[in-house]
Amino acid sequence: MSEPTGAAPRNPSGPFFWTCLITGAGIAGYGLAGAWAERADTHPADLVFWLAGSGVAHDALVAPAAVVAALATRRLPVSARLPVRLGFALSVLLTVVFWPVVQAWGRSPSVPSALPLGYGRNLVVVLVCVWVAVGAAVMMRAVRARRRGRAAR
Amino acid sequence: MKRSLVADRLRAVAAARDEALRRPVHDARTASILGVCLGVCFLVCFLTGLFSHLQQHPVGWLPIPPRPASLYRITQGLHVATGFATVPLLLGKLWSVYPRLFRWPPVTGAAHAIERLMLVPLVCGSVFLLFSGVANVSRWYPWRFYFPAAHYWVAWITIGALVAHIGAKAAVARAALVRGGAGAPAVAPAPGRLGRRGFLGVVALAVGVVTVTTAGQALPALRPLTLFAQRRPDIGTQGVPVNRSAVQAGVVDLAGDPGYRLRVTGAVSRPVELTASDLDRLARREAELPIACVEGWSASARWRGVPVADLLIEAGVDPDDGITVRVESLQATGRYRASELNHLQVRDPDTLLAVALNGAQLDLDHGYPCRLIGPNRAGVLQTKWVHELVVSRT
Repeated sequence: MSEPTGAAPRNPSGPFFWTCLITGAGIAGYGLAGAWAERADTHPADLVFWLAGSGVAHDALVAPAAVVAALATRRLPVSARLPVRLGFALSVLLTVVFWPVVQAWGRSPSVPSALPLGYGRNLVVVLVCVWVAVGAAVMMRAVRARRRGRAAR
Repeated sequence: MKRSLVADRLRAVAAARDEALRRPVHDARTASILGVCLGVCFLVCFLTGLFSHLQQHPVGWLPIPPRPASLYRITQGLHVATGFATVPLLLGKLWSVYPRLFRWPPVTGAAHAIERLMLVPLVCGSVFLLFSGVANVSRWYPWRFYFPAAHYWVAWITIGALVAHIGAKAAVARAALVRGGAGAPAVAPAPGRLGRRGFLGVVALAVGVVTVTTAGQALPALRPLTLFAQRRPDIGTQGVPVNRSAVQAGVVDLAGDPGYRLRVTGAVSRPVELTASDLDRLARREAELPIACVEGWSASARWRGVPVADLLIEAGVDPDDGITVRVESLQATGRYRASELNHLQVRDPDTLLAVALNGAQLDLDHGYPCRLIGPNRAGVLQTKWVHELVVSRT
């Protein structure tokens, strides 16, 4: 398995690299020591679970899911492929980021001013706007491709 | 047989990786542009986060000044808005460099191994900070740790890993950012396929959507577009949102008790004791001050109250004498049942024990009979249902 020429691995070196590495390790070490010193609050085992889980969730779930989504949409017509993929990515992002407020898990009966909006409805409105834009982009690209095809003939 | 199947799979992954790395979306220039943007956002979040930490964990050698009055409103609004904006940026960056995760051989030397090892805290920490931050401002707590402590210490770990990453990548990034430099894609995108501008444009669009639909909780100009923020600053009792209700704090009976007294105690010449109506009679100063929550929302309001400095003079204490005041709530338990005023805050004439909000008597949920409101303070330090001021000399 070799790297493509454009991304030949370059071993980090030089005084700037080592200075940054030592400084960075010191700063991170301060963070580790602080987290341990306040272990009654940081619950190290729980924190490690969520920290490692964050990295694993991205590298083993989110990114592979994006690869699968790209593969699943590869048979779409060329004019639709890119807008649909980007619209899908944006929709998933907005849905995931705002899912906690849409579900309103943080509402409490004595604080009606917290999470007071119709978040589910708002999400539907935004997603409809995204897919209207996707539809418009697909149509524009299809028309442009047909014109190009006609001009080539 | 089995081995050749595995070898085939590995070859396929390598081919896919190499093909991806030739596309502009995954090249060094795209990764560098996103990296620079992320670096700026992380720096903003880190500095504003430090300021918020300092507010809640004051240190003697760096007292928080009471002016400018809206400083915390701006820094914390920026902290949360930048955090939201960083979510699409980080996902874009990770997508851009994802093929490099499958580099083979994984490391080519000791320095390279250390550099890649530092990516573990960088990636885990970055995703964790954004996930926990977004969950916190959505008032959702699926974990057991105390959010501010975990978020704060992981920020140090992540920033440390980021400094090491900058050291390793600065030269590569600089070369990639030079026009026509090493970052130029090996092949230009085919017509109709995603190029660098398209990819960065979509990331920017996502940043815009996320920002515009949430930042109205701090920026009045964006209020009509507030679709996903946990608050709209004009929705709440007396036109101001509430973070903790009297029911949650367990103070309903004590705050409504006719036997309520506000006491000024500690290092005083003569202890002061005032009823709720005494306080209302003394409350002649009005101030326009924001409530600025650590969760990013803020709302400006008109308060009427008694300056803390006036109460100290009443107790025979000179407010300019370098004293600090501990403000105690009727709330029996909880991390934020008391707060401290440093010697600069004590002196400020707008540091009030407020009894009225926007022209009406303070609602029970806003801290009746009286609450602390002071300039440039985090919302959790604007103690409600105050019943005692304890003076100490520094």
